[in-house]
Amino acid sequence: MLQSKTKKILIGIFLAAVMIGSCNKKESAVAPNISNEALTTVVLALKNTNAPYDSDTATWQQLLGANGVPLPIDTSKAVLNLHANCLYTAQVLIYDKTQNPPTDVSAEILQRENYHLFFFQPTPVSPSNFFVSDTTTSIPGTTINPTGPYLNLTVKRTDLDTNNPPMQVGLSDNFITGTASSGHLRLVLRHQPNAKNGTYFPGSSDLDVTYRVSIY
Amino acid sequence: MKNKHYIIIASFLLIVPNLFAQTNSKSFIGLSGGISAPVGNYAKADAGTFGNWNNTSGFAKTGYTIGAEGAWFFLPNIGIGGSINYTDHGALNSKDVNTLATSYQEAFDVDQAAVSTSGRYQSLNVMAGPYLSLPYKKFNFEVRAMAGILKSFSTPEVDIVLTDASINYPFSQKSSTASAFGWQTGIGLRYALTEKFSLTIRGDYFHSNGITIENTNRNNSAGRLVTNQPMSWINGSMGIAYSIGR
Repeated sequence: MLQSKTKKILIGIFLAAVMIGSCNKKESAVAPNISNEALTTVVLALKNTNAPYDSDTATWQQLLGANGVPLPIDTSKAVLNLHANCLYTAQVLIYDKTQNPPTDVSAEILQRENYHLFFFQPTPVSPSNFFVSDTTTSIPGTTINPTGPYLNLTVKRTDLDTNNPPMQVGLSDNFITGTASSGHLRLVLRHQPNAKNGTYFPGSSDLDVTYRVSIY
Repeated sequence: MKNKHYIIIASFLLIVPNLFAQTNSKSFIGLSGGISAPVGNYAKADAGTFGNWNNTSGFAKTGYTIGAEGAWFFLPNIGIGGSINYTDHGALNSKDVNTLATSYQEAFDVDQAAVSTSGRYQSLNVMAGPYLSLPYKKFNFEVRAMAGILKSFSTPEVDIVLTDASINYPFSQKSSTASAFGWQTGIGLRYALTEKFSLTIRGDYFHSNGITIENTNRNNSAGRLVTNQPMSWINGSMGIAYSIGR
């Protein structure tokens, strides 16, 4: 008698367990971005490694007006004057000047370095100085001038992120100048969430700014 | 000091059974079922904060356990026993999924993060170890410590799609069927209903350092990344035991 009751109870428990276990409800949710910084100001701060008194900064800026409408781009200070045949260390500093006090966005990019990558493209560029790879700073699609004159500037990233294996970031760089020349330097910050692989293509551009460069 | 502890434990094992033991403990087999409550990191529903993501929280829910057990007493009150238990700790709920979506959006600084989950925590553990049984009238007070294998049948799968500038970046935390070492300790009471049948009530604590969790398409070190899921829980169960032998 007890055996029969026990069997029924156990079968009941087992069936209940299987029924509960087979409930496989799917859940989903979407989290939107609440706020985003405005990258209003991009500063290149350079220092000559052989002559520390030789430093230069160039500032690209686009502030926001009333209701967040972008004001005209200010390139009056977006100029680099560098000595020929020198090695400069460079820092990229980015600010959000819509905040008071201004926010240091480059510090946040450093925190998020594992999916951010800077690219630097001097122009005019010769075919022999244009290399697209997972460790170079060249920007694919750049028009290559076959005859020159060229801007004799090479940019190499010097910082690494904490990915495994580590990849370059570009907040810290070396600027290597050649003979006297002039041109432009295009700086692009790529945002590559879970897609950073060292190359330009994954992701989208957070920044795309241009400086005038004079090497003398 | 260490010797003192050994003497106390040895005295307990030798003397205490004799205080109770008017009769030998009977070997038994039985079936049981009850509530299983996750504890520790396994129970936490926390994704962490930026730069300090929680990679071990399990979002596991209170569920149930069913199983079979048995023990053979080669000494009057000391024996060896084993158990096999199926345990279910539920699925992630809408609040959990929201927590994860918010964490991935923040971690990757994207326009939006969409998270969907399916599947449950379902596992089987097979354990064996020593039993101490102290009979008193119709009752048997039991203490057991066991070790064995935890086999996962499934863990919740988490599928994430980051979207930024209208580009999608999908990746997943896969359901795991991995196995791992586990241990369990607990106390129980058997009440003799008849000469052969007893009612059992048990409380057990189970712990495993964790099963391996596979992830697909994780290219960058950012955000919560679960590669190992520790599992701990407390079971409260009732069942029927059948005495074997004399």
